[in-house]
Amino acid sequence: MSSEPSKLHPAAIAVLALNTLREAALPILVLLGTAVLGSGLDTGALRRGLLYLVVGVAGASLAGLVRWLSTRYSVDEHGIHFRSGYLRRKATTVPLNRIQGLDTVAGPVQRLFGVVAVHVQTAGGGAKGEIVLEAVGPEAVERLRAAVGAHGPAPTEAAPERALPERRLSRRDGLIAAVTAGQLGIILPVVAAGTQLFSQAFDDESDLEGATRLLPDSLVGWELALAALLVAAWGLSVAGSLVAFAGFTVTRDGDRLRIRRGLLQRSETAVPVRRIHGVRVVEGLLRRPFGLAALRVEVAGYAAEASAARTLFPLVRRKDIEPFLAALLPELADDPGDLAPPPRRAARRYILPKTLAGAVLGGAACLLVGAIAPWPLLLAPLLALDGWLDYRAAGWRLRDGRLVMASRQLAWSTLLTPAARLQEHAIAQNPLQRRAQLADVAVAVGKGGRARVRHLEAPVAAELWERLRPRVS
Amino acid sequence: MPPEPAHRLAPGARWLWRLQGLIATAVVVAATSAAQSELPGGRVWLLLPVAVLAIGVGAVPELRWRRWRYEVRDEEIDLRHGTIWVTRTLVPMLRVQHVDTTRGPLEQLFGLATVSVHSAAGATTIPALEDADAAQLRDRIAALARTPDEL
Repeated sequence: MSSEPSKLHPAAIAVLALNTLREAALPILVLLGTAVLGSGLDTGALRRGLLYLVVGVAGASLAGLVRWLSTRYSVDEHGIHFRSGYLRRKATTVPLNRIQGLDTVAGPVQRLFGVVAVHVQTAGGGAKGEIVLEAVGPEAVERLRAAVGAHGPAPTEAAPERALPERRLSRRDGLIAAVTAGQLGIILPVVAAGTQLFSQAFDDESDLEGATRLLPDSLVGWELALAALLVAAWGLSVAGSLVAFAGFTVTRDGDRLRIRRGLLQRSETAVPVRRIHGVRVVEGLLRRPFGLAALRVEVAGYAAEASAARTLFPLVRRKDIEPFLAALLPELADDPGDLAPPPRRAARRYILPKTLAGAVLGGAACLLVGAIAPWPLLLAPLLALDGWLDYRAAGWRLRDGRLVMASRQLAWSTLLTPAARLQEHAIAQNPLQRRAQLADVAVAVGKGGRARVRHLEAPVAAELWERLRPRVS
Repeated sequence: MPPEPAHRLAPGARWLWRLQGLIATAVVVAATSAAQSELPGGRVWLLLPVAVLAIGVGAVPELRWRRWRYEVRDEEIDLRHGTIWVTRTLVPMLRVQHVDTTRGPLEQLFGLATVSVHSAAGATTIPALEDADAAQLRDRIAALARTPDEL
């Protein structure tokens, strides 16, 4: 156990300098731009631009050097200590028993020097971890691991020969996962921007004659541009997923799950199994028809993590889910199918509200736009279908203390969790449901880790609520 | 369904919520009188503050108070609340990470306090309790929740 404060690996200078540069990238670019373009493109301006660039890089390097010189870390029986900065001193101590994991991340720069960044994860920390050590050599990582592991459960106990349960994402599955990722979040802003451009194009065309003359061409032009934008966004999202999930490997190592992933930035996360409170099976719109799903873990204390970090595995065939979990996470393994559905009479409660909303929205759109064709009215049957799918997706099961809850919001989502791990659970009724003797059941396994099944028979819901109560010991 | 949770909120809760409703009404009055001349429909808009008054001061506080029940048992916290949606929530004592009491400016006026119970899933609150009751409840939950450190 080393209590002597040590410096980061010198590679940290480069990493820190690049971080500073990245933070200052925008001002530097603006300066460069004004220098080069402001006074015309002559050699003088270019020289000045180059000067700014050199000054920027030199400044960042100096900042990196100072940060490296001022940064010390040490481990003792109390915890990991970290201090940094000359002008603004920062000192952090994370007690050993608060450490949830040491994640290693190797970005391009770190890999150039054969080092890794270590993120010390705690329950309260953000996505990056309470302490970030930007560059640490392999033997120093081992020392850190040993010091933390000596307190907590040991990472690997003897016999490294023994084959650990492991799953690796094949290149083909990686491609399928990327193509079916369906990042609506990226596509929607693009569509919004596209339609805005579209309407602006028409506002500019104030004289009617010009508009009618331009209409066919420009309409097609804008539609093409929009389509191109969509394709580009989709391509970007596919590329992003490919890079993020490249070489995705999950290994069960004693009481930890090790998840390694990433092409440019290799990251390795070790999640203690006792912190995993649930597994979520997510079947996106593009995956469900092919029987494909992604697996996520619900981890207490990792709330701020990006969704990629909570991915247990990016692509599994539905029939393989149970064997997969049985091998890697037997504590939570369960069959996501064979669930008790809400009663048939509840179906209209899933369908009707959405249909009405669709009719109102579609009608309003028709009136506002004064559409030639009543296309917006199609929203009503579309949302009715959506509601019907919601009804078909809903279900639950509680067997041997394992709870399964399935619901749908565009994507099908099934939560598998031991009933004893619930953070809270609730039963809710609105006046209409009270009259019809129906009720909703909702559970929470962590921040954001919620599931709800709507419109169950009230006595069934009440019984489920009762069975989920903590057993009096 | 197990028996209803036993305890009600402080009777003063109703007056606290009525005051809040009154403030909301004042805001709506100010907004409608400012916007009335701009909007089509004219005087019809004056009905809006009346509706807010009737719902926010007349109906909701009483209904909400009647619905609200809580009970802290050794192994769980049991809540029932809601005006339109009636929700029965259960938080296992094992999952409680910390408890705190807060007193907003309006609550102080009525000598009331809110107890917030924090778990890994977020905070659950029991609003508008008598000051002394809130402190007692907080200490009781804190004592009951002092169990092995498991998230």
